[in-house]
Amino acid sequence: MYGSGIPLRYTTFPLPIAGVSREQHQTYVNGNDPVTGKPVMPQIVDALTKPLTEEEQLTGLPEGVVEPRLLSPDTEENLQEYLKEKDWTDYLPVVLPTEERVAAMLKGTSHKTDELVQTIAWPGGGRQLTVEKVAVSAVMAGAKPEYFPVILAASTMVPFGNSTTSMANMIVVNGPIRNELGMNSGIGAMGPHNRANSTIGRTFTLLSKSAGNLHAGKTTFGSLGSNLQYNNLCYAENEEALPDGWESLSARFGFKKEDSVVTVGVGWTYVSCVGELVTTYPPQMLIRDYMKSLSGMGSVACLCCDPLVAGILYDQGFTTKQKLAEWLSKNVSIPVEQFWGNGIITTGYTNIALQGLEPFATWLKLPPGSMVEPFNNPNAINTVVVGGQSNTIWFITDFGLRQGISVDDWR
Amino acid sequence: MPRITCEDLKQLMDKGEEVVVIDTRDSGSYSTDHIKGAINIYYNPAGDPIERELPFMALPADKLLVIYCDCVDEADSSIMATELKAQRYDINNIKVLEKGYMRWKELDYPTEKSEY
Repeated sequence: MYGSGIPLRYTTFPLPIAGVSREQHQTYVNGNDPVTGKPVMPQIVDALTKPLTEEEQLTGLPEGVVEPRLLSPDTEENLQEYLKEKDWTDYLPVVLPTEERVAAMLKGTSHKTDELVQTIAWPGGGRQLTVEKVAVSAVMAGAKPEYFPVILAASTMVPFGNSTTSMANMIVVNGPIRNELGMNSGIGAMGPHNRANSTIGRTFTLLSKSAGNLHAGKTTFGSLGSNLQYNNLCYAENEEALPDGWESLSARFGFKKEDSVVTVGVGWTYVSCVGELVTTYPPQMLIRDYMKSLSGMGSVACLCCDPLVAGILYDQGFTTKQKLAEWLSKNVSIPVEQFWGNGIITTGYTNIALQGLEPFATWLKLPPGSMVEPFNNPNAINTVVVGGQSNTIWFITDFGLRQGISVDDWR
Repeated sequence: MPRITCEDLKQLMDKGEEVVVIDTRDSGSYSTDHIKGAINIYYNPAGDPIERELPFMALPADKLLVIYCDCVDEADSSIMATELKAQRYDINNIKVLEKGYMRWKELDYPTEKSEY
């Protein structure tokens, strides 16, 4: 298969690999490739011994499949069905991206229609994601043209995570653009209650499926998938309600207050505190307890808390977000066997621990029952203040937030 | 991306400074030989970006990271350094090894084999 820029030949094994016996693995070896239907071992021998075909002798990054720019005219019902057949939607109705609607969306930016936003190289070859293609998905998601700069900035991080686990994304917006677009950072900000929050997040999904070429069972194999991928946890930070001394998320990444910024995170877990805070158990203690259920991968955690919670934490002495991160970093400890008991840690860390990277090299040798602090890097623990102050609610998540992206650069 | 010479890296290592040296070559090349003490994070530009980024998360944010490859103009190590920067690693803590592994070998600096 010519798909990675070099003439590699692939044999595909059935899933799952994890959680099944060696005997089951042996049946995979003795069985057929689930993609080609051919016996695995003869296929491997052929791949290693038969001369390369003309296509396999090509070099460079292959072109991805290019779909026609325009579809033939048809009824709305048929076109909606066509988009579903192509698996380019989230199976909710979309706004049909007519030339007029796409042209209107493109007025939301000064960037040229054919400007390249990024080339998505995996899976399946290099696909050119242009400003116009982003506009098509933005229209389909129901976005307004004024949302387009935020969408373009976020689209530099498309597609969403491709994993057999339930990987998902978080999209946080900071700066003046929040209020310009009427984004919700108050009551219900993380629910389906605001057009900008909803459609910016949804566009990320539609782009991931179309330009990102992610199709369940074909190019992506998340066993359960994630409901968070419908909207990618898109919301704005409630900057106006930050306690004194607490900087916004984008300020933490070095942006100024007047900068509009979108930050995209990758993670899996989203746990609600469920009930209000009580006076007998300070919030940092309960947050610490909940963090013990996270994998600790990369020392990453992201607390999403109502301004009321932020205020109580402030009164507890956490006069900056960083102080809270440092306290959590030192106070969350778990048994070492729990740390290594998570497959994402074992897969991601074992080899480099065996190669000597600390502290994992030491942790690998510890006896069961030894306690370790998996959140050993406070800089990877973020806090975002969001919510409408109707209750002292918070979520702890394991979303790793990447460097913020300037929205102003995409106006 | 900021560079560090092999001579300067060797000096830091000799002084016992905390440096994490990352070999971006494939695991076979790493097993055969690599800079003594280096860990292996294979840089596959055409692979799944998430799979590529997972090992990054194990890297300490408070130590100097020195990345090397054996390609022309340090291409792979420069790209990995750029990706680490995007993951919010402090750019002051990331260096690309100038002239890469070939230069390290030319200088006959310490290398080792690995079974991992």
